[in-house]
Amino acid sequence: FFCFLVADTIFSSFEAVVSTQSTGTTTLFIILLLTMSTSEIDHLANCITTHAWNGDRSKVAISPNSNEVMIYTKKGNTFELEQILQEHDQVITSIDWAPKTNRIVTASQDRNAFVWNYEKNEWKPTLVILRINRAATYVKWSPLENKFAVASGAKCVSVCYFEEDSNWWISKHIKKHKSTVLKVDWHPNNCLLVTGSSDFKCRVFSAHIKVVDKELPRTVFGDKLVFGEPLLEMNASGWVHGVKWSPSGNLIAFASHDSSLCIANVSNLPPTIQKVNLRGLPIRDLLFLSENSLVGVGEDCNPLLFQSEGGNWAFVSEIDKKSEQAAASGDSAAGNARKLFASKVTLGAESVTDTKLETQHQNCITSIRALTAGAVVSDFSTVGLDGNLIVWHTKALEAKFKELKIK
Amino acid sequence: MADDDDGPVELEVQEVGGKTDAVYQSEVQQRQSEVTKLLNAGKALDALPIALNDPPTHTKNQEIKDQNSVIVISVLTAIKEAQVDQVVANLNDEQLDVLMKYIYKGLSNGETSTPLFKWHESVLKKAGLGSIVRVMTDRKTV
Repeated sequence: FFCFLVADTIFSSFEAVVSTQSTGTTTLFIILLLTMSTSEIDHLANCITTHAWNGDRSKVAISPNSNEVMIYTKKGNTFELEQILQEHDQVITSIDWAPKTNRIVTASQDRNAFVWNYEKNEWKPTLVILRINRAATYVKWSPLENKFAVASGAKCVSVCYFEEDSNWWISKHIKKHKSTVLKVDWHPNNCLLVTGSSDFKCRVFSAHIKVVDKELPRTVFGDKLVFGEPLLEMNASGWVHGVKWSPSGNLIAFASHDSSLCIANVSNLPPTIQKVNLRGLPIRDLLFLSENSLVGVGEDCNPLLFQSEGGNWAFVSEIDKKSEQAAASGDSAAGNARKLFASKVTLGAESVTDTKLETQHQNCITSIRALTAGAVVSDFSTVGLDGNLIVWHTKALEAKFKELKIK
Repeated sequence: MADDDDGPVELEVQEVGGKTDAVYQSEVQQRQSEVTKLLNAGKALDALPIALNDPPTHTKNQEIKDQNSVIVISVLTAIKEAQVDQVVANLNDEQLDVLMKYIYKGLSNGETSTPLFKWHESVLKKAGLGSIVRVMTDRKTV
């Protein structure tokens, strides 16, 4: 741990140099400590609603709360805007990038979804007729990337697959929801789909399509899986914002608007459901780092780590710790004086009114993605309404804060 | 096209463990007598867990709910301001959530606001913003 002492001293010596420069160059002094950094922050837009990485994590597609998709390429330690995809008329609510087939699917409030294929250095869009009369809220490729599911405000989920004969994406509807479907997630077996809706329920459906999936997998829900029939319904005390299967498919985590997180063990029916009440504000999105570790992100602007001890889930810690926040913001006397004059000029304020949050994210975190594949996710990224993309390194965090040990 | 159900949708929130109004009524009366006994004996601190236990959230009868909230508020006002922090420290998460709901219910009446604000501050420090979110989102009101 000697290297961390060195890291801390280098941090403080660079503070004086960098404090007069804009926050955009916080990435500059992190370059020198790349191997030891716990997180990297990049400001890519004013506001980001969703993001998705490509297969080798060299590019990221974001929606800056507009009808465009911005694709950034990682050049060294910064991101460079490579392309802007314009086809949607309204705000793009969700993007998913299939890692193996390299296809992007975008869903928007304009009730459409487009599948983008990369041909001859260009992204070519193909319209998908979802047959919905409300906005699409979320889209996700299935694990085998031969189907994708679109959640919508039309109280249904459109499961779309490519029909070779007609050279067209066909959609099949899963109804049975009483209100907007907010999120979906695919089970590793490519057939089961869990949905979270604003009708206070989390449901599991079969999204098995005969022409695409050859065999019906064996599941705990029985052998007869009818498309679109709810196999399981679980109650929540608020709109269900985030749903996720665990890596093995034995657990379903769902987070609802009453600031709670439920983890259901569906390896046996009826499922055993554990509820964890949060101290802070609701969680919007979830990511399983491993079978026993779960990260929730949301309106607290701070990723929250939950772990299970022999099946009992509990909140462990916030991931964005105070010491990291201070180092990343580079506060100093010169910086504060600059802030005072800046606020005087822009806001006409007489004193430094610090509206800056302590966390690295300055606004609600909207989306979380895994960067590394495998049994345990060691790096993940978050984007928020503050327009920041932050990449978190769990190994470095673990080394620095013992309680953040991922099991 | 998806079903065009543009009218207001009645969302049935499954209530598990709802008791009949009669059962609630008798429970509330029992609670009332126990709490009054303890308050008269000067044991307001012991009365609080009893008052907070098993609130009549599943009944549609507003009277029963109001009766129960009167009991809870009477205990809250009986406990001295200096003891509030200590009492809150001994409550578990479930009790804190129920307490927060009653604090807001009491504040909506506007009569006993001063002690209730002290309670609010104390519970907020212990339970966090999540308890307030749960007061706002829980359809099972107290």
